[in-house]
Amino acid sequence: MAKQDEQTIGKVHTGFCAFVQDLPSNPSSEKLKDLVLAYNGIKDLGFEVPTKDYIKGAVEYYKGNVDKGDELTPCALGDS
Amino acid sequence: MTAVDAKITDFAVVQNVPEAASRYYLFYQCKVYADSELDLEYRVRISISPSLDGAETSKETGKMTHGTTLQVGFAAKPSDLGLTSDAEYTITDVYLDAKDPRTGAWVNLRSYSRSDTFKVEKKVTCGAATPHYSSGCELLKHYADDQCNMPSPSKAAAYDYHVYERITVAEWDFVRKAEGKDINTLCANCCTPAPKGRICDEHDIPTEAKAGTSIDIGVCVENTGKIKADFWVEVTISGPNDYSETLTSAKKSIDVGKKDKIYVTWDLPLNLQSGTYTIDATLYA
Repeated sequence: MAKQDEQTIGKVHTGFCAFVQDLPSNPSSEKLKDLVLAYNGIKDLGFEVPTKDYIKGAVEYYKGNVDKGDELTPCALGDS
Repeated sequence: MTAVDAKITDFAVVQNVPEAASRYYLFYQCKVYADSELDLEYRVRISISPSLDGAETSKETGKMTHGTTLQVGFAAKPSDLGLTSDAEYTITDVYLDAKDPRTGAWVNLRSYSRSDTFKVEKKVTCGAATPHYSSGCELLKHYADDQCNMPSPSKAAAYDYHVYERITVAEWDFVRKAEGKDINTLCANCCTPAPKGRICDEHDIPTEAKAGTSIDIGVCVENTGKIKADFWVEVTISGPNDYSETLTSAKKSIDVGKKDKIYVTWDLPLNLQSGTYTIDATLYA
């Protein structure tokens, strides 16, 4: 067995991050609304929205501020 | 009346030379000291016993200024002599001539009786033992890379010959014959290249996944070696809360020069936290 190569080959977004990953390129106020509803326990998106920072982060993604969104959420959309 | 004189000093055998040499090797040198009042051209001739085809026996210095010294070297590129063992040669005489500036004729100034010996080393072959290796093939394999290619130049062999004296000139010349080549072109079926591959760019990775489901991750692998080989990958997935999981694929055979994808399946836990998960791959063969 001989090691030939190693490298980072990609990223997979799950839950909240999968939901917001296209916000920077395809802003959708409907998605923001759904996130607020999920945060308040009114709508089930299939994942948790545990803090307000998730909402703030989603707004930053919506505005195209990807780095700020990454700071507020567990997502890494900026370098994907 | 003008005095014409010169002398030779520092006679020295430099090294042995290989039989069936691939190039010229310096084997003898001396110094010419021009003592004439005139600036003259000099010539050094040597006699070798027995005679050796492919050896330089006469060297001219060009015009030398009065009082200067010049080192003169003799090289040889012996052909295949059919030697069964190393053969000894002796420089028996060294002659110093000067060129008459009026007539252009060479005039002998001095003769030196010498007994300086060197060897023509028996040529190295692929199958027979060499002075330091069980065969010429093993010698080449020692200096070739894992793809059976001999570097050009082979610095390791040069160091082993010139600095550490770990190989003979015949062995070094054999290595030099293979420089820049697959050593199998010199010694057929001598070397088997090691599997070699790299992670290429055309992966098959979903951009998103749901907790509680499974996704297949395809790692692009290219066989960059010279033989068909079995490859496998180790994929490590890391993310929020120090999540880390390592998955090992099955082996997959890939032809030379081909790209293929090797898959692992990631079962995402039901309680997997939202986040961006980084996928690192390590390729083995």
